[in-house]
Parts: sequence; C-alpha cells; structure tokens
Amino acid sequence: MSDAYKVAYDREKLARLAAEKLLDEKTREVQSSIDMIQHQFNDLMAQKKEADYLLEIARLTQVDQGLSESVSDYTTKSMKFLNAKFSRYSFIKNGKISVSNVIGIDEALPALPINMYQEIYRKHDRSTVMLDDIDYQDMTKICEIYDVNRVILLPIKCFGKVSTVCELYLPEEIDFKPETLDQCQVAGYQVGGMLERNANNKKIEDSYLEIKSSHDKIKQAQAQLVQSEKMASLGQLAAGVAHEINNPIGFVSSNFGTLREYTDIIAEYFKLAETLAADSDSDVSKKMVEMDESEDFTFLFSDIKNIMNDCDDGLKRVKEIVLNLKSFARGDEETTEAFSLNNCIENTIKVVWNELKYKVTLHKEFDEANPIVNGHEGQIGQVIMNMLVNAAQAMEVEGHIYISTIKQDGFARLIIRDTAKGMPQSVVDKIFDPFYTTKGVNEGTGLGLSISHGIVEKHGGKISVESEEGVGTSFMIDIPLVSD
Amino acid sequence: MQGIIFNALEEFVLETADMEVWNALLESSNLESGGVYTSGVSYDDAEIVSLATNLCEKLGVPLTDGLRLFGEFLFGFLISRGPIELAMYPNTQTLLQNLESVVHRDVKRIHPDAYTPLFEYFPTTEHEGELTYLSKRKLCFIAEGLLQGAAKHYGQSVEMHHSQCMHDGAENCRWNVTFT
Repeated sequence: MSDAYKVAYDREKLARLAAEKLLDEKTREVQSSIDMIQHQFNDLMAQKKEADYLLEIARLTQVDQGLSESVSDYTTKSMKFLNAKFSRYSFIKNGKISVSNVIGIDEALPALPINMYQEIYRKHDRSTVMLDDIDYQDMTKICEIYDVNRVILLPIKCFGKVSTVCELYLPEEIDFKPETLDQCQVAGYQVGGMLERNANNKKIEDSYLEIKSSHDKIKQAQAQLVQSEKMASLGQLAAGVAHEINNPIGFVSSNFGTLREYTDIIAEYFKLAETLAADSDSDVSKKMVEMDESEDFTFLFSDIKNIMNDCDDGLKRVKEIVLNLKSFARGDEETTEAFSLNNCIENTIKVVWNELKYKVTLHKEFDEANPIVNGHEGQIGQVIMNMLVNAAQAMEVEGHIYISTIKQDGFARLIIRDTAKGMPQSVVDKIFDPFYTTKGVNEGTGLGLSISHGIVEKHGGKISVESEEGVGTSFMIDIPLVSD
Repeated sequence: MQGIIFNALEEFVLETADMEVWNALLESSNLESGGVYTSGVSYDDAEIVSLATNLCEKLGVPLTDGLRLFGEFLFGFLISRGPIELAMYPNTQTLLQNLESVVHRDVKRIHPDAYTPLFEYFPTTEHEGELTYLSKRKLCFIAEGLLQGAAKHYGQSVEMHHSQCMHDGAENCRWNVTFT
C-alpha cells in the first residue's frame, strides 16, 4: 500500500470510529429519553392508580351503607390497589377481636398473634409483618400455597380508637413506595371518618325521633288535659242540670199519675151526665146533648188518654236522657269496670240522637254474644260519640251510618262506617294528630280524634281508619275483651 | 458476536502483523459477512472462531495464547470506545463488581440483541477473590486476556489460577485471582 493510501486509510478509519462513537452516544441519548419517558409513564400510571383508588374510596365514603359493607369494600379496594393476594378484616371491640372476615380465598386463615393487633390498637399506625416470623404451621402452609411472604396491617380509626384492622397479604415480588402505604392509611382514615359521621347521623336521628315522640306525647297529653278539663266542666254542668231536671220531672211524673186517676173519675162522671141529659127535656139538658154532639166527649176522653200516654213516654225518655247524661258525666273516673260495649253504644246513640236524626239513617248490627270490655264506659262512649258526630258532620246530604260489633281474637271490634264524602290519604295520614282539623275556625278543635286515639290506646286497644273519597269512611276500634 | 469485536481483531492484526495478513485471513476464512464489520451489528459466532483459528495457524501461535493476547488487546480497545466513566474506576476489582450492573447493562441499552457473557467477582480480601465466567461461546482465554488488559489499564498486575473450566465440562469457569 502506498503511503498516500495508508494515510487516507487511517483517516477514514478514524472517521468511522468517530461516527460509530457518535452513533453510540446518540443511541445512548435516545435510550435515556425512552427510559425517562418509560419512567414518567410508569409514574403517571402509578399516580393514576392512586387517584383511582382514592376516588373509589371517596365514592365509598359518600354511600350510605353499614359498617361491614364499608370496611369490606375498603379492604377489597386496598387489596386490588396493592395487588395483594387475599385479605382479612377484623373488628376490634373493647380491645378484643369480635368478628373476622377473609376476602379473596375460601380457606380459613389462621389468626395472627394477638400482640400484633394490640400493637396496632395501641400505636394507631400501620405495620408490616414478615410472615416467616410467625411460627404457625398453618400460616406457613397458606404462605406456600398462595406464595405470600408478608402482611400489611392497616388500622381504621373511629372516635379516636382503632375499630378495625385490615390485613393485606402480599407476595414477595411486589414492591412499592412508602407513600403508597400512606395512601392506604389516608383512605382508611377517610373510611373511619365516614363511620364516625354515620354513627353521629344515627345518633342525631335517634335523638330527633325521641324528641319528636316526646313532643307528640306532650301535645297529646296537653290535648287530653284540655279535653278532660272541658269534659269535667261539662260533666259537672250535666250532673247539675240532671239533678235540677230530676226534681220537676219527679213531681210532674207523680202528678201525672194523679191526673190520670182524676181524668178517669171525670170521664165516668161525664158518662152519667150524658145519660141524664138524654133523658131530660130541660134547656140545660138540650144544650149538654148539643155540646156532646159537636165536641164528641168520647173522642176527647180517649184523646186525653192518648195525650197522657204520650206525655208519659216523653217523661220516661227525659228520665232516660238524664240518666245517660249522668253516666256520661262520670267520664274521668279513675276506677275501671267491665261494661257491655253494645249497651255503651246504645246509650251514646241516645245522647247524640238529636244531632243525627234528621240526616242519618242508622243501621245497627251488634254481636249477640254481647262483648264485655273493661274500662271507662263514659270514655268509650265519648269515642263513639265523636265518630258518630264526625260522620254526620261529614255528610253533605242525608246518609247512612252502619255501626256493628263483633268478637274477634280476644278483642271486641267496633266498626263505624258512614256513606259521607270520605277523605284523601293526606288527611287520613294526619287524622289522629292533635290539633289537626278540616273544619273551619270555631267549628272544631282538632282534638276529638286525637283524644279518641289516646282513650282507645289507654284501654289497650287500637283504632284505625280506612277512607275512600266519595264513598265513605270506616273506623275500626278494637278493645280487649274481659277474659272469661 | 458484536461487530466491535471483529473491529478489535482487525486492529489487533494490523498492530501485531500487517494489512496483508488481515486481508489474507479474511480471504482464507470464507466468511458470510465478507469481512465487512460494523461495530453495532451482530455477526455469526463461527466467524470469530474461524478467524482466530486461522490467524493463530498463520502466525504459528497456540490458539489459547493467541486468544489471551487478543483479550488483553481487546480490553484497551473496548475501554476507549465505552463510556468515559469505565476508564475512571480506581481498580479492576471495582470494574468487575460493576461489570454486569453498569457495563453490560449499557451494552444492552444500545444493542438490545447483544449477547453478553456473565462475569461475577466474589472478593475474599481486598486484593483476592474468585471470578466466574459463563458464556455460550466458552471464550475463557479471551476472558483471561481481558482481565490482564484491565489490570494493566488500572496500573495493577494480576495472577490468575484457572481452577475450573467449561471446556472440562464445568458449568462455568472459575479463577482465583490476586491483584498486586
């Protein structure tokens, strides 16, 4: 080779060397960029996974579900997030494990040494335990079957105490940053927060219900107090009136007996006078005969008898009403006594008949076995009266009331059904609420049915209502029968 | 085998003999590649074997000695082409300990298809240790030469006792090495 070629050859070789080196450098750079992109991509994927996980946990904490479901969901999601093979969650109550559930495998999982749970309980912080350190025959077997070598214990705190421990069992090859575990722990706090919130909500709801129930009771008691006060005054008045009427009725009644006797005597005398006048020609006699013909004394006397019978009936009815008024007035007696429900209804009807008679055709169908119940007859009468008056008031035109009693399953069932206009469900729902009324101002207090409800309940019974608009309303009242 | 090794062999021949020897070698070896080698390309392993065998025959040197000498030369050639950090290691031991994790990893990054031998160094003392070599090519004599070249580069000398060899049916080659 000539020297010139040798020089050129060496130069070319150097140029090739430089080119190859440059290529290597560029390849390295490109590879570095690819590595960096891959790294960033992996980071992004990891971040996405974390974000997805936290989002799922956030969603979970928005769902209104029970403790077990929430904890189970959290454990399942964390298991997926950390690629754990299987998991378990245990509830801790008073420092002891109360319930344990395994997720991901069907086999029973041997318990971890209690001191591991105690440590979590004490420290309020997660821990990682290498399963090789746990010298349990069964655990070693499980580790071999599922190729796991460690467990991460995550606490869920509720009201400052560890209430649950989640165990996530991981294979050896899975590695992650401590921040990843921090995410799980944060998610656990979130779940704990949700459990606290749920518990607080439940408490608030319970308190609200308690307050509402107390408030209703107070309202009811107040209504009953007002009503009993009213009834007591009414009762006093009724008793006074009854007493006052009783006296004149007494002497009117007794005078009536005398009056009847006197009338009989006068009638007999008139017969004799009639005969005498017929036999005589005197002017007086003629006038007497004329008068007899025009006035017809026979008719007059028979009519007087009828009138007196009617008056007698009227008096008897007045007496009966007074008696009923008296029994009604005894409404607030403390002592209870057995009474016939059928009689109670009859007596009540008599008291309110005046209100009903022009509008209502009453149909009665009483159980012939005569149900006997225990309690205050006056109060039950008050309930029935309420139903009857309401039914009549609800009638825009004339209508029917069907009232029936029947013995049924240890109760006397009283059904009062009317053919009035009925009520919509919205009214039916509130009908027993104190001060709820559909009547105008000064027409109703809204207490009647609420008090009726209270009275029936006090008698150990129950009252219910069914209504259809345009058809009518039925009230069913069940009062326990006196046991034989 | 990577083209760079063939480039090194060419350089070795030019240095120890001359261009005529190399041309004759290429001609007599009946190569598929035609003797045109580019550093980043992989060539058939048989070509390096045939070139090495023919070269030793031509020069009248035993193959093992020839390979050893080439290995020693190869190290200097490679270090001049590789990343600058390699040349900056304090000693051969450090290089050996980083060979897989740094050097061969870098090779794989640039040439993902490249096959690299596995070297492992287990130091027993600061200056002594055991070196293992595993390769499908079983070029343990080049490996010995490489180590000699490395020691020379880092200003050391090395004594190697080949205690186990793949050519004797062992699963890998082993040397007890002492650096001074």
